Amino acid sequence: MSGPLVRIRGLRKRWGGVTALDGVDLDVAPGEVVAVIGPSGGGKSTLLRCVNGLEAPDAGTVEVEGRPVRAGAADIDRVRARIGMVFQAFHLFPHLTALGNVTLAPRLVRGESADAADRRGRALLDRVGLGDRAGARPDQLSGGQRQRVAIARALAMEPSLLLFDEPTSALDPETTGEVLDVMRDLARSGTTMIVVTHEMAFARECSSRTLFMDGGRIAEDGPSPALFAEPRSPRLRAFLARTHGGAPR
Amino acid sequence: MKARERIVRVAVVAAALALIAEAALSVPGGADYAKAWDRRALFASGLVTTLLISHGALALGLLLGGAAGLARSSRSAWADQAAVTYVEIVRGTPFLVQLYILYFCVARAARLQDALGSAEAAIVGAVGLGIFAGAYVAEIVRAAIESVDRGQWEAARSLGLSHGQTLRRVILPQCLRRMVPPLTGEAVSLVKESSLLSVIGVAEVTFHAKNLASASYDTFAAYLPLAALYLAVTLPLSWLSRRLEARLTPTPSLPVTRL
Ligand SMILES: Nc1ncnc2c1ncn2[C@@H]1O[C@H](COP(=O)(O)OP(=O)(O)OP(=O)(O)O)[C@@H](O)[C@H]1O
Ligand SMILES: [Mg+2]
Repeated sequence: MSGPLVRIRGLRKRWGGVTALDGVDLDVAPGEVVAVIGPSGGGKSTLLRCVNGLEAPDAGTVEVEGRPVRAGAADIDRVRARIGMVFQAFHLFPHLTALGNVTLAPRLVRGESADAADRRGRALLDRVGLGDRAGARPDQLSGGQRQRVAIARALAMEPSLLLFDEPTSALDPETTGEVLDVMRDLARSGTTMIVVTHEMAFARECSSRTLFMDGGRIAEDGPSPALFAEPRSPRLRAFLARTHGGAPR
Repeated sequence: MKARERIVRVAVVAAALALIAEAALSVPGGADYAKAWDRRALFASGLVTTLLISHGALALGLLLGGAAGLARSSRSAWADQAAVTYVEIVRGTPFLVQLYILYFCVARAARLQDALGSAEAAIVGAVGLGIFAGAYVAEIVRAAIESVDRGQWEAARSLGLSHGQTLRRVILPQCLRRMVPPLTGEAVSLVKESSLLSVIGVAEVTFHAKNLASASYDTFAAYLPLAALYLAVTLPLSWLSRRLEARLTPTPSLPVTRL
């Protein structure tokens, strides 16, 4: 595909008097792993949620694979099926097993046969290290295991783009590692990812590019090593100092 | 503790029954329960009618209420507003008034008697009761759907599921269990509410008790057995509801978010 995978122009969103997005332009190329960092309330989640139409912007456009993303549009389900999303709170379906969570969308949306979906689902659970927990219910899994199931669930739709909104913020330090390992593998395998994270080590080491969002704008944007090594703005310098400059935790 | 609880419960129920029995037997002027016993066949057929009407009304109420409850969470503003209107009108007026309007205005105007004959009152009454219950069922369904975390919708929609697929395959399976206890409660209300159909001449169980009371002037002999008959139906329902609730309450899960 020529051109960017994600193309965002002039994105604005206000909540009452609060400006969440204040004119965001962004292109993401296929294969890029983009980390989004920044202070709380900077608009990171809102930006991510606009990319798959969970939030409708007040102004501006989002295109993924050249298709406009519009919340409520007739083709929104087809567009969303190509975009995976992983949430901070997992949002696994509690009435389904781990495998059921992974196979639901392939069966319903892509019309896969139960056999085919199960086979792929088991392979995906294997890939995130949970091959032996296929029959477990979400409430029988630890936080880290749940998040890995959620990642497998997103991967099951073979998305061209994966969105992560603070995927490890609800996890213990011990289980954070197992989720980050899975994400690191994904990043290496060439999956296009946008990752909102407070894990500075992950942003610095595993992403190809980092955005610093502040006050609803992309305040800084550059290759991750350079951005962390030489922050240009005082705001980013202060932010990195507060978060220990991305020193490994 | 369990044993103690049981002893207390039995003691309180026994005391209540003793009090009621004492009152029932020491009625001034004396109550002649033999009169009620003589009419046991009528009471029995009335109870059957009560149960039949309650069943029919419950089926209709679940249908209407299910549809209205789903309409409340649909994306169509028309469906939503139609459901709101239905629920508000029905819940904002007494059932007795609805029944009078349905029977004396609507059914008369539509000349239902010609079509339904002697069953007219019972059928109109059951339909009225179903419409009434439906409004409450709709609120139960809506509340259950809204009780499901927004994140479930977002996760399902982000996978490409449509609104309808999300509702059917993700949301409803999670909230059906939450609806069971309040729906059982609604069934209990419905059985009791059906006593009002006696005012339009439906020969359900209250109707026969009223007839006995006005024929014999012995209100105790008429209404105390009546109360016992209603309890015989509603207490098992309540018990069933509690059993179901205990069975369906999911084991507490690990906290999902910390923050
Ligand atoms: N649904 C909402 N209703 C009202 N205000 C909202 C809503 N969602 C976000 N906001 C506001 O928009 C601003 C940006 O929020 P957003 O969640 O995008 O920030 P964030 O960068 O993800 O922050 P955090 O690191 O805390 O997750 C904040 O001021 C927030 O309070
Ligand atoms: Mg956020």
